[in-house]
Amino acid sequence: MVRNMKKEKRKIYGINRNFISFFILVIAIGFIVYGAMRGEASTVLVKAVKVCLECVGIG
Amino acid sequence: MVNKESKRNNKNEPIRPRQFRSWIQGLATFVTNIHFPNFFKGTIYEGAAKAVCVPGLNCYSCPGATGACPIGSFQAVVGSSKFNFAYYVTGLMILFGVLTGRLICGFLCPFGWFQDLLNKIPSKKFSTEKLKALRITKYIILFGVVWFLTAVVVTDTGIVPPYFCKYVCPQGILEGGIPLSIANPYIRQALGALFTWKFAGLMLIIILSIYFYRPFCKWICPLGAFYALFNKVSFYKIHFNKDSCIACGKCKTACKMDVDIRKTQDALECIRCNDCVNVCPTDALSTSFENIKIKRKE
Repeated sequence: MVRNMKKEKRKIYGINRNFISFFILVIAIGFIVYGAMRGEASTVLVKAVKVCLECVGIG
Repeated sequence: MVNKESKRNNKNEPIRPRQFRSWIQGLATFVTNIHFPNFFKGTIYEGAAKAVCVPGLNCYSCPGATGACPIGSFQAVVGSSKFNFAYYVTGLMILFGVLTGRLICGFLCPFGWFQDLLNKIPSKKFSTEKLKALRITKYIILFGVVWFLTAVVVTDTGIVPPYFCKYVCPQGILEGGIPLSIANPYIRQALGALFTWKFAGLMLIIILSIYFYRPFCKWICPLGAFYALFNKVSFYKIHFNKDSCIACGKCKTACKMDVDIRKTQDALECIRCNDCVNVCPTDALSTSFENIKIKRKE
């Protein structure tokens, strides 16, 4: 009974929850690689190594 | 049924990370801001690690910041003239979200820890149960301010300012504006109306945090809103065993995020602080990463 309950909980809209989690994980890694390849990481670095005037309240 | 108190006295009882949450939060804050000497120099770290986002809300203009803020980075990329979407930053946020959900809010976020500490100041505490409608604000900020405004608004230069960081985020003032202006006279001279506005916002959050539990996380934080979307599918899970539950209600009383964990273990508001798991007298609640279940021995 308990085992059956746990099995039901692991499904979202009839799809195995672990499968969805792994699928999203793969998408995340894909996004990271694609974004890094087109130079987004460099944009982040350029922004992050300078004092962000808006963030600290200078404008 | 085994009494939990007697189990706690068992020397063979394994040590659980959740029992040291405050220490873990402190350690995470330290690691996220490891370049401590910069606080005295009035400068920020400029190394390559800044290309990677940290999981919690931590301003990259904090003198000690190890990495980049996910929300600030997202706005920087989307608001730049080169890109219209931030795949890299979104991918990192999805990665953090799908691994842990809002466990990051509960254990790793420096601003979450700051609010936790403020809430420990002895005073009358107010429930936010009747203010549940305000929770939607953080989703409006996430999709409206962080994404929509940054992606859609067009400026002459083609560069859109990070609206959330500029007008809303109190962490930038707490970690960046205040320490930098104390140590750096040039920054101190440049402060004006925007600093006053943001400082007032920070003060409001500080006062509210003393009387309410984590008001910023509940009502404003776009990063918490993003991670909340992954609570249902994250590898980190909370389990509820209905057969062991004696309906004492201790879990609901212990939850400061107003979640009834017995009804749903994947609630958007659950920051996985594990307070409910800790107070459960019958171990009806447990946690796990994927199929590796973390539960006390019977």
